[in-house]
Amino acid sequence: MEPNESFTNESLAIASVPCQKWGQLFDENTALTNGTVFPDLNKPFFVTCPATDSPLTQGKRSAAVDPQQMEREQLMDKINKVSFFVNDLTLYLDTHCEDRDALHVLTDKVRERAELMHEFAEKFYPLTCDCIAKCSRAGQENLWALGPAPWEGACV
Amino acid sequence: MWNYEKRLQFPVKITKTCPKTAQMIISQYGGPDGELSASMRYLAQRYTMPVKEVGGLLTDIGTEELVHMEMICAMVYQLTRDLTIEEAKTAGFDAYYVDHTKALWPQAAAGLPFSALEFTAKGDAITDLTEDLAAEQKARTVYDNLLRMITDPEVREPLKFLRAREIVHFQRFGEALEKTKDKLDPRNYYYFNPEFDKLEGFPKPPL
Repeated sequence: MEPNESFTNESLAIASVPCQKWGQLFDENTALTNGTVFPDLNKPFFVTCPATDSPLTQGKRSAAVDPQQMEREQLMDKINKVSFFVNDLTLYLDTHCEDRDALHVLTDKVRERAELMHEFAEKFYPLTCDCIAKCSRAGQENLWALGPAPWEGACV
Repeated sequence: MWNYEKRLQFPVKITKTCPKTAQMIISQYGGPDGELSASMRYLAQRYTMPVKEVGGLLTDIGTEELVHMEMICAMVYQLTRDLTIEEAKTAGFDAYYVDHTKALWPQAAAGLPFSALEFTAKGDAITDLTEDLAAEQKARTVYDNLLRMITDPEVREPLKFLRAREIVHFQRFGEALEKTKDKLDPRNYYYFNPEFDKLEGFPKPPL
């Protein structure tokens, strides 16, 4: 038997999981809500089906937020969505090293993420040490220490 | 090495204090199938994995589990941030409060401390990847159990996200096992341990 045939021929006394094939992807909004970029891997639980569960994603924002916080939250939301795409595609590529389609999408998303991270640093505060130099007040203020802690829920 | 990024993978913004819920979900911080256990399991197993891509996958999933640990901790923190002494007394949080006040400490829902005995690094690729598949399923079951009990949508949304990640990770570990199997002879996957027996180029068993 050729080594690759073992992928399709199940053997006794060992676990087998079929290898995922590249296919359709969710858009960025849906991917983060569903916890995967792949519709093929979207397997919700019956107690969380949309008919009975009210998703949080739209609205649910505190009524009177100042415009700057609003802008910051919107930019953070974009960063979360594109970064999640990068996370999930990275795992896919760990087991599908040669997949060119996935590599193309990943490269685009990584580029987009870097731009958004820089924009966030310029306008608000750095999310990583590497973004410190992009801040408008870099060299004058300790911006790394100033940003809010993520567990405070300040930047949803 | 690791670099910190100042944001959560999925937003956590809980506005209602609920020590009872905190008491339950803390299990996914320090419990037997929690995120800390998951992260330490994968990051421990990766060094000796015989297939390079599998070591890479364990690094990436082990890192994501740390990120999930941070989400669970943020949830426990936000659920108890404004805790009053009356709430601590009535909501089943009293024993935890006595020992830790409102600090985060890794324990299971039933109060058992986090322990490395809850996972293994056995040093055999098939054994460890089979453990990892089971670990993802166990964590999914815990999230199922939590979602049956918890009604606050602000808590449910991040829990649903974390549950979905267990299923994706299961798929990836399955693919990692297939990659490992591809290097071995399907007539006998147990002829030798590719993580210990330094035999030249994954030899075939005799016919």
